[in-house]
This record gives sequence, C-alpha cells and structure tokens, in this order.
Amino acid sequence: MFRTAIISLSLIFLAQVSVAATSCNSFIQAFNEYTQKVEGKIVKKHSIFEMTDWSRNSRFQGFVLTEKAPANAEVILESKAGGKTKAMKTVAKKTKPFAQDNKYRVVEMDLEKQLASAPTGSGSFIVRVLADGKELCAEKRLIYDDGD
Amino acid sequence: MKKSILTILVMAVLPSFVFAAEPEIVVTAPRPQKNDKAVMMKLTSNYIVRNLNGEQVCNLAKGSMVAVTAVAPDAERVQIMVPNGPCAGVVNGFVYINYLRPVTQSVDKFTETALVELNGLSLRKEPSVEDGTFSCSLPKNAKVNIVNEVQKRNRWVEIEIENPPAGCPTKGWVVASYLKPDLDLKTLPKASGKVLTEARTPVDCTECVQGETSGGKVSAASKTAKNAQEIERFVNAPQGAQIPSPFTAFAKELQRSRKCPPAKQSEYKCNRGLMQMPTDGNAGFCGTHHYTPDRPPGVDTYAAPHTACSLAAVAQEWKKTVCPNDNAGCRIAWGDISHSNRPLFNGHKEHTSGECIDIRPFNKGSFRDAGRKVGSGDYDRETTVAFLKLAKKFGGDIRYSDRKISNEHRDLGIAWGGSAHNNHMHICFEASNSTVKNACNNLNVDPAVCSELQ
Ligand SMILES: [Zn+2]
Repeated sequence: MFRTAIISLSLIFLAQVSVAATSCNSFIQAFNEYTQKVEGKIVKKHSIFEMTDWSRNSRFQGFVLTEKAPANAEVILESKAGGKTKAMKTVAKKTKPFAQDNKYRVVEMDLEKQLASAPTGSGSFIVRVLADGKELCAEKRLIYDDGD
Repeated sequence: MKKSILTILVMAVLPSFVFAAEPEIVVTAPRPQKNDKAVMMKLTSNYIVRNLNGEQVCNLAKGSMVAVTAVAPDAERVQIMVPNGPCAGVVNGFVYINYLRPVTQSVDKFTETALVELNGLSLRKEPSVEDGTFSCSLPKNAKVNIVNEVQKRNRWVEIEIENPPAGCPTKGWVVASYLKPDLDLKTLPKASGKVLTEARTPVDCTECVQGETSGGKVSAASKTAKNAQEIERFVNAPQGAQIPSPFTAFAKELQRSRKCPPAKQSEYKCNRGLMQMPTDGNAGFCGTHHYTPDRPPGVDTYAAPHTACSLAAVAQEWKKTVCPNDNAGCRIAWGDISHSNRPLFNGHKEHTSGECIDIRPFNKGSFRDAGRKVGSGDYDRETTVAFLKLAKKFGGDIRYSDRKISNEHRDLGIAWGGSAHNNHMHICFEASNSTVKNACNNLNVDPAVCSELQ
C-alpha cells in the first residue's frame, strides 16, 4: 500500500517533466528474443513492439530502427534510475542489420546495463533519435518497481 | 528370440560413448572401469530431467536413448547420461523409471521390452476400451515386446507376448501405463545424492521425512507445506486408481514436494515444499510463455503443490477452450511465481508461498513477448476478462488495476493494485480456498495439451 502510494506520486511527478511529444514509434521499436516450443521442438522467435516502460513485467532486450529512420541515424539513451545519483547517457552511432528481420537495423546498446536497476527503484529514461545532428523524435518512459 | 540387454561401460566421470540416432547405436570403446555398467533405455515421452532435489537440469525429447548408470535413493528414479544434445555432460540428471523402456538387442534390431505391472491387465484387439475389444487378461510380470504405439486419451501400445497364458493370443493392445520396465533396479549402483546434486543446498529432498518440522517460527513456508497435505489423497492413490496415466511424473514431483518439509529460514532445504513448474527456455507448461526468467533458468518457477495443480488446470482449460494457437495474443504469458530458496522474491512478500503468479494482460493480434498495460494500443480487454473469469472459476484471487473491468465485473472480486498492477495481473491460488483444494483431485492432464506435465 505504502509503496504503491510512492509509485503513484512518482508517476505524477514524472508526467510533469516535459519532453518533446513526438512519438518515436515510426523510427524506433523495442524487441525481445525468446524461445517457443513448436511441435515438440524449441525454436527461436522474436517480437518487435512499441517501446514500453521498463519494469519486471514490461522490459525488452534492445532497440531496432525502422526503415523510416535514415541510414545515418543516431540513438541517444538517457536514464536516471534507482538509487543512482547521476543520470547515464549512451550514444549509439552504429546500427547493424537485425539478423532476425532485415526490415530493421539493431541499435548497438546495452539496455540491461543502463536500465537494470528495476525492480529495486524507480526512475525514467528518454530515447532520442537524431539524424545529421537534428532530433527526429524523443520519447520518455518510466523505470519502476511493479511490485507484488 | 534371444536377447541380451545392451550394456555399455561408462568411465568414472564423464562417458565417452556416443550413439547415433536409433536404431543404430555406435559405442566407442571406453576405458574399462571396474564393474560400472550402464543400461541403454529409451524415453517414452518428452521429459524434463531433474536433479535429486527436483530442480530442472535439462530437457530430453521422446525417443531419446539414454544410458542408465545408477538408481536414486528412492528407488523410483534412475540417473541417466547422454552423449549429445541439451543433456550432454549432465551428471546429476534423474528420470522416473516408468518413463524409460529398456531396449534389447536381437540379431538385426533393437526391441523395446516391458513387464505387465499388475495382475489382470486387459489385452485388447484394438487400442480402445469399447465392448468387443477385450481378448484376455494378462498376469503380473508377463514379459512383452512393444511393437507399436498410438496416443489417444491414454497411450496405447501394441505388444507381442512371449509366453501367452492359455486363451490369450500372442498379440494385442494394452494401456502403456500398466507396463513397467523390464529392469531390476537392484542390479544398478546406488547414486549418491550428496555427490551428485549441485543444488544450492546440500540436503537431498529424498532424505526429508514426512512430519519433520522446521524448528523455526511459523512462516509462509510452513503454511505452504501444511497446505500441501491437502493433495495427499490424490498423489497417494494406489496404482490403477483413477490417476490419468500421463500424469505420473507431475504427480510424483507433487508428492515429493509434499514430503519435503519447510526449513529454517536460514537453511532452505527441500525447496520449502514447493515444486518447480516445468519450463524449457521461455516455453512453459501447457503452451504458456514464461517471460523475464531469472537465472539460472527455472529458479523463479516454484509453486506450492496445490497452486501447481491450479495453474496446470487453468492453462490447460484456456488452451483447450479459448486459445489453442500458441502464436496468438491470447497465449498465457507469465512471470514470477516463487523462488525455492528466497522467501522474499525481490522484496515482494506476496511471491513467497508459491501461491501467486504474475500474468501479462493479453494483446490483440499475434503473440508478442512484450510488456503492455491497461490502455496500451494492443491491449485486449475482452480476452483479459475471459481469462480472469477462468482464473476465478478455478479459485484464483485477483489483483489487477483495470477500472473498467473492476466496475463491470464485480463478481470477479478484483482487488485494486494501484499503478504497479496495470501491467500484470497478480493471481493467487491459495489452499484456504475450497476450489483450489480440489484442483489436484480434479486435474486430468491431457497429454496433447500439456505434454510437459507427463
Ligand atoms: Zn505478483
């Protein structure tokens, strides 16, 4: 109950921090790789989806750029999470073809390292997609402890 | 037809033998070592190999050939070794003996043999119990060769009888679960649990005696173990009683879990009376998906025995009646249950007793391993409601934060969980609930849907 209240407060607080409202959906997506049993055999699969908040029940392995993102696109990930005092910033200038689906290019970035403070704390992260120094979009999401 | 059980020699630590796909078996000459012998056997179903503590070690496919090297202290499981695949190099893997059939070598082929387990087993002309199919009754320990098999509601095998009793033909069909392996376990060396287990705890569950007390304070764990006694009637039912035949390994794990008492909080032996729900990568029981698994795999999938039955029942019913397609967004995706050795699961008190599970809201369209919350564009509220109704039917106690569902379906008695519960349903199957109490008694596992529970 008490923890829930704290999270609710932080949600209100974070909602007030303004970030360019442009959704990044058309340029960047999240992905997960997983395994599934098909006719008794384990096969590798992946899913590509709209970026989500980051918590135990909603997290993802990485980002892919869509065909709409220019070839020279850069991705910047800024995060402030958990008990960390300093915000972290990572710039990925490189992308490589996404082996599982050639419509996408995978962003070389270690998300776990930067966002893995959940579920012990809460915070937020901002993803920015840039091309030729110009920001195409920015999107803000939460990092939080989704509790019991 | 002269047969001899193919025995191979096994090196002291790791086997160096290799064998190719059946029926051809190639045995490279290992260094002879004392009298260590291994018996070649074949798995009768897909199987999750576990160590002596009941923890998953690796998975083997139906039909895999394994070398049986020792017998477990409980005389029900045998230690196995395989040369390749996911179980290669595993030295602490055990399989319930009823899931193995010895293969015997004749001149030009390998034949699977078995013994009749109980007196009066019906031999039938066809794999069916309908009138007119009955041929005769077979005596206990009659020796048979298995020549064919078919999976119906039960698994049926066509057999040849070596010395048929008077009035019996030499061929016919029987239900496979009434056969036992033609193998004398007394001839195998005894596996030493202490040496072979690599579990976090040194105590092998088989050493735990029923009624042993924790010596500690009353804890969530002791509550779990007490509740687990509820299923005693079911798991202790005698052979031949109404236990669905494919249910044996799951039931045996439940039974073992029940026998394992709660431990002091300082020494979490015996998995705190919880049993590990089967997973293989992200693939869970009955077609479900396990997301964000902890490491090592399976460490976060421990459930109280009665909850294990409820989860299996819900997942099976969902797949059978609502969502047969594993590639659809209605596929069940679940996260945390409980840890075997950590009562406080990442600080979450409610994932302590093995009675609660986190499940993602469902999405429209095809299955995606992706987080979502109430209000996400792909959120499928209708399917989520259908699932909550099913969970409720099986005694589930729900916490979930979708105001619309809570308001429109007050009969579901959903507890509000704040913003922390708008991206997952927290559902508990508690032993105090009479519906949950019946879960194990009423569970009838369909091997076509829940092959992992065989
Ligand atoms: Zn939960």
